[in-house]
Amino acid sequence: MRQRFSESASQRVSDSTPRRFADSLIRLPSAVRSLHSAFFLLPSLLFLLLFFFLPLARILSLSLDASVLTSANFQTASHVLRFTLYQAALSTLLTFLLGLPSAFLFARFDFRGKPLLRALTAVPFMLPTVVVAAGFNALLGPRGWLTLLLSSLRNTQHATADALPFVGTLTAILLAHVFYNTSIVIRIVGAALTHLDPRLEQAARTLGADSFRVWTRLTLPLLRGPLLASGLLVFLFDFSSFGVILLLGGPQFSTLETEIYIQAMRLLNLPMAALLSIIQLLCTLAVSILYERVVARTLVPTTPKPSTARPPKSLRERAFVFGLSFLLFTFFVLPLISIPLRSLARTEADRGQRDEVQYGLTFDYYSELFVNRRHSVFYVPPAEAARNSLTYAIATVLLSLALGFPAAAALKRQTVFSKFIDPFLILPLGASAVTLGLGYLITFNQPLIIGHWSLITSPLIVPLAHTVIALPFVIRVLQPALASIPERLRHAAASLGASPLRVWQTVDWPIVSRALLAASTFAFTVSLGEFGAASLLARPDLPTLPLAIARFLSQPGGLNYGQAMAMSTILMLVTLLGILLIEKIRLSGSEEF
Amino acid sequence: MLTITNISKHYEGQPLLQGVSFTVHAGETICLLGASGSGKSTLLRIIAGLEPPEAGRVLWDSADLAPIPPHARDFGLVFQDYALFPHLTVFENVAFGLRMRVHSPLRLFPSLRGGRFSRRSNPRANEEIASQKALAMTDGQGEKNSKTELAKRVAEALELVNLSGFGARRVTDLSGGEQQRVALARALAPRPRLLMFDEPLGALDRSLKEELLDELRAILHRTRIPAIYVTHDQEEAFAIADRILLLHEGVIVREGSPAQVWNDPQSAWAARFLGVGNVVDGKVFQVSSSTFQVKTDFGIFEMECGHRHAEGEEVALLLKPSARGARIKARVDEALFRRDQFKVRLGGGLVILMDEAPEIGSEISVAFRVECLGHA
Repeated sequence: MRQRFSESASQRVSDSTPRRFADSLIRLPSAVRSLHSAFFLLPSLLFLLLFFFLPLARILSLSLDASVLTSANFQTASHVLRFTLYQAALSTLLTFLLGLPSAFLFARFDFRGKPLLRALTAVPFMLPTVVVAAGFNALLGPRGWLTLLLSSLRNTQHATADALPFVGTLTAILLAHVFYNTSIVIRIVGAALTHLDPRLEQAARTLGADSFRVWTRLTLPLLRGPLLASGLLVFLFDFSSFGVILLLGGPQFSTLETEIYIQAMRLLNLPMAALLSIIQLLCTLAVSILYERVVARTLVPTTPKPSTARPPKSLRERAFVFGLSFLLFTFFVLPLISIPLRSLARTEADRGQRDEVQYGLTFDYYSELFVNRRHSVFYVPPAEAARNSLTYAIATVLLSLALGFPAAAALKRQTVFSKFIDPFLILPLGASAVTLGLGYLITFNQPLIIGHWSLITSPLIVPLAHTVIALPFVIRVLQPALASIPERLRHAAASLGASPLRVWQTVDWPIVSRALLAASTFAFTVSLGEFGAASLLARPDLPTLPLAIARFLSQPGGLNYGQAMAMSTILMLVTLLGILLIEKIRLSGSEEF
Repeated sequence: MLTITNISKHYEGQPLLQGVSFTVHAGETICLLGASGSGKSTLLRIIAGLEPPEAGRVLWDSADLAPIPPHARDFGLVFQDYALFPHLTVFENVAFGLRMRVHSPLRLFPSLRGGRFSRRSNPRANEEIASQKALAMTDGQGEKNSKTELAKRVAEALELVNLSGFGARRVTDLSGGEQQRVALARALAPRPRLLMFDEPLGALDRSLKEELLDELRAILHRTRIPAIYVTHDQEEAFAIADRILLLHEGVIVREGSPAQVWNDPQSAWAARFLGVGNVVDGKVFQVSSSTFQVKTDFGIFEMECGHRHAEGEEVALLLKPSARGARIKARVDEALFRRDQFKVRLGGGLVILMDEAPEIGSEISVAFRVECLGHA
């Protein structure tokens, strides 16, 4: 706050003096200002140094050991890498197959329910992987709706006998990836298509290009940047996908991410996991650099009009709009709606209830969440997992705001220093959560100074990892909002007689508070649904909600399944609420988050 | 020859064009002049085939163009903000239309479209067909020929707009005036049978506008391509048009040569829009067999005109300063310097141009010629 006042004060001086003279005034304190911003960036940088770069360095040093760099290890790694690349490429291709027509649909046509459908397609992107896995499981899995439907059609008692070959297939992985990432294509390519100057197309038409050649000679070349960018981004997400592969693909599929987890947690081969992590990091880095270059070079001529969409006219257009929007609606709603429906439906006998089975609507799965039926010391009732998740999420919000707000305020102004430092703050976005978890396992294993206490066994480790993941989001949300506050507004308020405090109250606070709310919601939902890091770091007696869901999903019995669905429903609803809140903040504000 | 008959179009529930008809003759430049939002651009888009009309027809040499898609109409269109293809060089932008022409199956049989090539009497047609053939050759030696033909045609077009040697440049690096020249060359290169300009100079500053206007007029005269020029700027319209069409509320209210339109605007709106003279409202209070009298704030005028008027009717009168005519005495409210003359505002709102600035507040007597503009 103090910094803001001093800055606006110096600004006031420079604005009221002639520009050339003011420039000479500003040049002197620029070094001071750099120092100033360095001070505010320091906590974030120290934090990332300790909890991001140090673990990465430890992974690197571990993997460079001669005992790890054997040809057998490399063979395993290259096998895993090949499958990872293969499934990512295939997923990307399929995502474009659905995403490109959808982008065209949203960019060029207006139709009833368009805003709803657009929101719907964007929902999966922020959903926790366990929820998506649970959704497809509830729809197509061995206890899913489609299986139940098929078995009731065939009139057989044992649903599992009719189970579709879905969970544990490549199809399941691909379908979930398409479900996840279609919104990226819709958003990036769709935005470019929407803003593409329609006169370019008209000019091409009058110059003799038919619609096919308008596409091949004009539209696609102009969209090259957005197409490449979204393709790389989708590939990146598919490449580093963890929960989907683990929960829907099963043990027979191993990508780099899941193999890191298996090597570290099941085979306890940390050096091998480290080697895989390094390969994963290098691949991610290469794709990210490519992505940045593509984005930097992207040039799409834009139209002054906000949108060129219009209602479909010809029969062909109407068929396209209706058909595709119906397909999208089905594809995006069914997996999500299946979860709550399945959580309320009893379709088979629970364990120990064989004589008194009641089929139909039930709230048992929810009430069971609070019961420790097994009276086992190692059993954690789901309600406790939910409480853990909540605690972790709140801790993540507090920590990431405490670090992110000063950093965002310091980055508000472009200085040489901030330009240099910015990529470092955003870098954690590129590292996978599993790698992060592995890094912590390796780095914070040793007991710290005081007695037997070590960070790795402390409950603090999970929110620390979540903060590393959430911090780039928080800064990305806060920084443009803070930078968007027009200096002129402050001057206007001040010239109308507002005291510095009043200026801050009336001008800054409304924008800052909303950005803070959006950032906290981001951090909260990220932490709540995070699966990769938590699966390596959470203590067995302090599991998070996603871990509990994954555990219950993998265990036999209708009761476990029902409880997994009940927990997924809760997690999904909380996340949806978060998305809704962010969306509402974003919509009611003029600034782009 | 392009003929438009009874074109109508609504925009967001409001009538935009209401039965517009006109003809563009060979080698003629017509100008659609109207305020922004009067439907001029929409009319161009309808002629280009980019938008269908709700009613009416677009004919070329009496053949209906409704079934012909825009890319087969052979009409060039130049946009206000140029709409250059940003991913192509100047050369490739200009060559775009020529390339499209080559591979299109429709283009290989120009007679199918009833285009201008079907008229063998036109000496340029044969030359054009030869050029098209050269462009279209794709086999071995022919391909080389088609490349040189393409380069030749692009160079010609660039030379026409004074941009020789600009071929390799990126269009995004050009100035506004240069970009507009490229847009013009791009439209000219395929030698379209009609050129359309949608406020082509709207984004340029005044001196550049005048320079480009002169060049454009010269090019249109040289190439003899019939053209429709759309603008809201009467200076542009007067400078370039053989014929002006005044568009107001979706209707053509006046049509004629620039001089005709200026000297006899024929409606109160046209006179006000063009700023021809002082338009004054009045009331008819006495009608005799050949003349009638109109009462205005500036006195009673007796006149004759082609319209029929009834007593009590509200009419608009055009008052132009002239050597002889009705004298009006008025006080001088202000005198503004206007290059060679002074714009003098008199009491009651009359405006005249004078060579010398009169004293503010003094009373002067000015002679006006009074014409009836019809019903107000």
